Amino acid sequence: MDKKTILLSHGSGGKLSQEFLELIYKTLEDVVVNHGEDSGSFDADSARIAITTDSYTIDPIFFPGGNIGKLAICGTTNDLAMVGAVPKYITLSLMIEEGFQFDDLKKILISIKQQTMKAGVSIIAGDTKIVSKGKIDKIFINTAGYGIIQTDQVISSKNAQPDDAVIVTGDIGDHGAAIMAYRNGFDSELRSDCANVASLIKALLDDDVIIHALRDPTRGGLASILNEIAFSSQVDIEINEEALPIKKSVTGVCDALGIDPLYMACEGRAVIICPEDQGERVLKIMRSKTLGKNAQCIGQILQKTDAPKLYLKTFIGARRILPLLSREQTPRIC
Amino acid sequence: MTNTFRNHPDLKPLLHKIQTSIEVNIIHRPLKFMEVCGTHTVSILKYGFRQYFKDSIKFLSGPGCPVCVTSAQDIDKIIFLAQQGHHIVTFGDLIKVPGSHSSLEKKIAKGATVDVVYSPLDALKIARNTNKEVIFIAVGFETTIPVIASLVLDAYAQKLKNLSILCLVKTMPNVLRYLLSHLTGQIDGFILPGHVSVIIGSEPYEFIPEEYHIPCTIAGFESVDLGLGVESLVEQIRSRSSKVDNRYIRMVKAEGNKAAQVLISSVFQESDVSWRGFGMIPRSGLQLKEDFEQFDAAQKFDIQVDEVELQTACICGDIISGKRSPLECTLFRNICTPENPVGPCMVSFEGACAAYYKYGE
Repeated sequence: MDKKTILLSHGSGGKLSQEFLELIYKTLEDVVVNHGEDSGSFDADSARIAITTDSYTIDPIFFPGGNIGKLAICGTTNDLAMVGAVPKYITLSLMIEEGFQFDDLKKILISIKQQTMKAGVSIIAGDTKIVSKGKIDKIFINTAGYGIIQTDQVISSKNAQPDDAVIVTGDIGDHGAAIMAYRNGFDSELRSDCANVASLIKALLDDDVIIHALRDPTRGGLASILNEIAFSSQVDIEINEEALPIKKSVTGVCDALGIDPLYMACEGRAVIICPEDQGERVLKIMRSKTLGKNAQCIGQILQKTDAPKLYLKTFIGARRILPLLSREQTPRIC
Repeated sequence: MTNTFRNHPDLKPLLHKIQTSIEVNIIHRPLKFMEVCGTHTVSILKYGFRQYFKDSIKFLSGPGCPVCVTSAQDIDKIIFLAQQGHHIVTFGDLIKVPGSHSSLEKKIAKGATVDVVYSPLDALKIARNTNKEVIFIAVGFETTIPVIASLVLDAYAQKLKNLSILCLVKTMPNVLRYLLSHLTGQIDGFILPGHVSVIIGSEPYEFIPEEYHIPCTIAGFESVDLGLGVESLVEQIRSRSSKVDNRYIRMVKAEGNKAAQVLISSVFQESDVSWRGFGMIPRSGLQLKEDFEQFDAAQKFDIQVDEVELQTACICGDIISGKRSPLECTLFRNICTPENPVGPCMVSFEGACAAYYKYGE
């Protein structure tokens, strides 16, 4: 690793990313207190505080269903929600390439304003940097998020228990498929699912639903996130192909390109791991909200194990492994 | 999610019927079926067919993944062109394929200009917007070749001077003829490639049942398509007959796509080409016709690469000729992984090794 060059694949959310992150964690191990959660947390005087940070770069910066500004606010508030926090403040840092259009910046800022108001968060600090032409690609956004954790429960990727239900709050792969379709010039009505899911999680916690783990299946998609939960909790997980909510248009785009929707990013979904007896309540609450109307129980946590795996029960009743991919999927040639 | 061709209510009974037919009627088991196309390899593993028929059918991967059959020397040529500062345009799967000493991915990290595209026609736009020499890396079978032919014709019409193709395309029927004439083991049936057959039709495969008496089926890629294809082969074996049975009639005609065939023959002519794992096979590839030689990167640039014979324990050559399975390779999963691919079958998502690895075999 130390003699090698960093490749794009190291940022794909797959196996190579894990090796890459290992180097960072190992080097910083004495000063890092968060391993593998979407947000870190600490106890303040009278509350538990969650903090997250993220950087956003996407091509194209304007896409069906959103833009990089909307993505940044939703992504940051969603990361806070995944530890049971109500988002309160964010910071906003804009790195802009020389030559970027004022009109485009204004569109992005309007989206940022709309999403912060929707999420009930305020921008508490910010920064801008203008960079020479060619040094970055158009615009990068960096954020930090601050929220107050509203539950005493331990919600963690390490906390999935045997027999727990695996629930997704909506259709899978919309964002990744929409971006792919747009990039490849497909005539598609697909839109990114980019949205703030904090309200969904708040509704569950307000109703005292027991939740063991929460993740938003962004980079690497549902299969990568479930692999991470399996690994962190040292459990096997099985999901059922027949139960997966996937739009026909997503399947169509993925089939045309030869890529697997289970590894396509979602930007407005959550994966909820909860005790089996809480599953119906979760689905009822989710389906009462527009954003969660297609929520589905897609599988369950199996036994504890030293060699965790994610299994898929296929339509024909066979069982196969869904591994962590090593890199981004690429369209097939033939 | 319901899908007519993926999760049809009749699918499970069909598979059960096939399994029963094998158990009742066929003594010689497991049957060995070769799926020629890489996308079929992926589908067979993805839908769980390999596991479902584990005691009755052994699926062998054939030479139908365009990346897997690209020789190390051809990869070296691409890397050489990238190192010369030319603008390379390619399909994503080629990025990671190891040549004799490096890969395109490593050259990108060191500053090589490489654009990954889905359609070859994207190379036109790239060429129009740069002063650099743009080289499209033309790999693929008959499925992809018509679009590559369109690229050349458009470049010709637009008088583009800075666009060329490195022509590495290959064609299907003659490699199967080569495979059959060098066969060491038994193949009980062929699942013929669906996408290639859309272009060339079913007629070019007729020599397989006629000369070798091996059952063939043309199948699509959904689970129902595969089920129907497997049913056809089992039925032919049971009735001791052999033919090319088209089970992909919604897409494939006996005569194929005439317009696409005309497009191909207007730009390309047959040539002898080298396949990874097989070596030179007569009339198994295409080269640009004389009228379009100005777009041939091999003629336009002085490409200097050494003749290197790779010395590894990689058995990709045996895998794509159906002699051995990825599971029989000593490198599989320990030294050779998608993160560190030794052979091309581990690189492409259509490659047998990558598919076996991904689907947990």
